[in-house]
Amino acid sequence: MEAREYEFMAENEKVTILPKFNHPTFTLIQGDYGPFKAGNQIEVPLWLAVMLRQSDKCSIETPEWMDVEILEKCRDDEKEEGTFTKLPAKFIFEVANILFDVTAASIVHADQIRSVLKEIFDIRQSKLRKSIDKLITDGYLYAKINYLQEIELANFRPILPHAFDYIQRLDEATEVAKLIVDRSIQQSSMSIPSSFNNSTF
Amino acid sequence: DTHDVFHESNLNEEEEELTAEEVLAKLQEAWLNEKNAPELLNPQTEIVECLLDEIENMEENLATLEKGDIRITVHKMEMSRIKFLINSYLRTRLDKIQDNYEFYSKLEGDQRNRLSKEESDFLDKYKDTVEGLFRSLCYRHMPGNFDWSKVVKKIPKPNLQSAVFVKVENDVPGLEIRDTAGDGRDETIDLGRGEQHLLQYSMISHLLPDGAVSLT
Repeated sequence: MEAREYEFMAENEKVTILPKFNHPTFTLIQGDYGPFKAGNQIEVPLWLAVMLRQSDKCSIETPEWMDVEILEKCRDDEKEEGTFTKLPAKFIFEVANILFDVTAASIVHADQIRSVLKEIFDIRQSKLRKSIDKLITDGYLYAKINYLQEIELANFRPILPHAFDYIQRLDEATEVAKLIVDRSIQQSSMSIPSSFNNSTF
Repeated sequence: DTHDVFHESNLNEEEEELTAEEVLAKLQEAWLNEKNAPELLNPQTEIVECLLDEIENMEENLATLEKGDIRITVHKMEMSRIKFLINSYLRTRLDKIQDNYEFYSKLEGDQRNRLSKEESDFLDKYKDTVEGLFRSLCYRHMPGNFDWSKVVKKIPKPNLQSAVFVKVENDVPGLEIRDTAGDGRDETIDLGRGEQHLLQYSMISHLLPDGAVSLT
């Protein structure tokens, strides 16, 4: 899975827009959106919002969670908690990225928001690195990773499942080798009593 | 012109009784599962065919509109998104078939249902092509009366023990985790709704078809 594919999924998230035009309902395969009336807010999928914004047919409302105070609180919670906290939105990083690309001018304190989001991302990445280290060194067979966004795993994706898999294989091979060694020790120790019996008769 | 041309295209699928929106959501889930699973999963041919029908209807309807209508751009965008999903889904499956073609061609009876009719034909042709290549490239130059079909080969299989990230849709109490290395690390855990885990694929593969868990 690549980052682009996560962005693709993020583009289905709903955002609120302020259309500059009038139009009856769009009956899309993925649902009905509309009717559009200039000046009336309406919720549409992100990909549609971006398309309309780029042809200057609407303006995108900043989502509620894209606020400096809310994000700073998230960041502080994240620093305190040992596990991962629940983030205010699904696909928070991808949606923020897309909105910055398309409509940065209309977002209040865009730079601050960008840097707080980056801090949150970094804190979570370092937590993830530590817990993966623990997973591998302590030899756990499974791990619980609640509230982790898919894209955060993307950094670890080719390596982690692969390494986990190989460690399992090495463990299995070790077990088999142990069994073979044990069995051969048993066999060599069993041959002594049988010759002992023969010699007494 | 108040009658919306596109009303007719939102058909009710008699077989599934799902809205087109739900079918699309199912396709996205099937796509994610297929991308992350090490083995070929059950083909969702009905979902793919249903969406392809919808797209065809949409294209016919679009042809009746005049150029420059905003509806054209919007619907076209949505159609390319859906086409991307379908493409990616089918290509992932074909990649898996090609990676392990010997294993999948040895499947019999019920298990052959893992492949759709077209995929089955593709597999047969692919197998013939590859084996023909090996034959002409090296088998026929082997010395003596070397008969490759008499060799008993160990066939590479998909690795069912690879680790996968799992998202829990419905509660699964009492899931057994067996330690394949026999180190005595067997455990029984409960999976709660909404949790995410890292697990070996073989431990949860039986939960996938009903959608109790999904891969992420």
